Amino acid sequence: MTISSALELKDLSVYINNLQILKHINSQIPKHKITCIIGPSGSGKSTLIRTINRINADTEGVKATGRILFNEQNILSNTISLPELRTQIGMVFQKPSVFPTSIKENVLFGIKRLKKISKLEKENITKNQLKQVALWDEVRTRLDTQATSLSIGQQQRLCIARSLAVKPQILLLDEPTSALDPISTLAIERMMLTLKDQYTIVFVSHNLEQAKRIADYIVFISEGELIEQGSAERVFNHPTQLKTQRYLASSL
Amino acid sequence: MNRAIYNRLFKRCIQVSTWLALALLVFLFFVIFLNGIKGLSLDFLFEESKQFGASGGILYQIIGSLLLVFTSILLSFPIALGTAIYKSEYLKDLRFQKLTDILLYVLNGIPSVIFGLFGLIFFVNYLNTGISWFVGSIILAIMMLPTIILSSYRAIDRIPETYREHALGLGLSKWQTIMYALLPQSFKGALTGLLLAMARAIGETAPIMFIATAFSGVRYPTSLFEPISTLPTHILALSQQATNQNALNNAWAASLVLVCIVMVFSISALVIRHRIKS
Repeated sequence: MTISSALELKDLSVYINNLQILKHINSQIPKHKITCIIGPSGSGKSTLIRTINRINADTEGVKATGRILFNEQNILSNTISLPELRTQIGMVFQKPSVFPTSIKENVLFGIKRLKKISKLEKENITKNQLKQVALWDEVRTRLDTQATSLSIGQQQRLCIARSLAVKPQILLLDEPTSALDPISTLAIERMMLTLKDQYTIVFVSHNLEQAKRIADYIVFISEGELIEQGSAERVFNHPTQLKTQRYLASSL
Repeated sequence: MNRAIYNRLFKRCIQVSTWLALALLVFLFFVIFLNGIKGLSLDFLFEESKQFGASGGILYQIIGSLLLVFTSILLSFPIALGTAIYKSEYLKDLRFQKLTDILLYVLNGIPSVIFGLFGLIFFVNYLNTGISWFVGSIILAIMMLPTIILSSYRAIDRIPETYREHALGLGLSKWQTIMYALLPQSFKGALTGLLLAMARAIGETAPIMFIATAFSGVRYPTSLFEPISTLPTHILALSQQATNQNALNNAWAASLVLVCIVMVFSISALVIRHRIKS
């Protein structure tokens, strides 16, 4: 494993109800970079990202073979503690879903169940995480109001803050902006750019323009196969595979 | 043409059935109210019954009924909630899901007198507990189970899958996800079922009349294995004294009190259900 990769996917295949969704994926996800997984609908992008923190583990009929190396451990192994893995590899979903409690309690929802934190720490974590997702100025005066009162774009940023509060090494985002308005989308893109110094970011996007705007590294999959991967600049400007060229051209 | 006529006819029919059902309920309530209000007074509520219920009040019957129902809730709610959680979060096999559904509906459909008979044979005779209010609570608790399990199950199962994923994705264990993300969300739904089960249980007569109650001379129980007096069994006993007008008046008044207690439970359930939706 090279020093600069955060995750290494080795011959990863995923089956859902005996149907092979992902076929022998090999990839190295670079550390402290933004990696974007692109591909047509139904190509297996979501399945791939959901396998990385094993959120599918409890779902009936899902089986993964091969290896995913993270900190020199195979996270597909049966002996791994899933809650612990998920604190190190956080996940943000397509549709935000806040818990029916205050904004502040939402930020602390995960972290306060992992370790004891003092009142002062709670204040600090809330403030810092909300600042990190550019939500602090909008909600600083109403931290104790219900999180459900926020707009959908604000809720998604709150969900990201909630994941970051747990201090993961890697943040996975499954089409985080597809349900959002353009302004919230831009806010989240800007935020991802500022976060990459501290976190490795992997996100799925339908939107090639978005991928061009913020991705450093591109993984293109189609029909469950990894067709092409490389630096964003290289893949977008000089795609070597025919399928990639067609996909990029058709999406213009 | 024809369709318009059928439409109107159909609408009229369901209107008539709705009014009929409501009118019957209102009529029933008014009969109980008009007959019961004569005998009702503060003294009636706070006095012990005398002369086999022909005079005096129903204090110990009210206390007995409430004690019976609240004890059965304490016994039944933890088991029901556990079953609901297991059924919703752990039981993946569809055949077992079907099986538990069938068993619950069967349990719900068993006539209440059978529960009474079971209590009599198993507890009172076989385990030799004697007439005991606690055995009555156990039997009522078993009868309540299906209602509370199904309402709690629906409340938990209704929570979208994404919600569980959001909690698991933050590193919460399955247990923590259930405790902190699912239960707070489904609590009100479970409470609704609980109150409806209470409303039904407090009026039950058949399951407790052989095993838990005595007609007269009973006050507070001082141990688990003593009889108590309850409203429905009191009403039953009074209404059998058809020649004694005083006893009948007291039966009406006790019925009114019972109906009011049932209404408090039912209306609370409605209010909570309404709050969930808004």
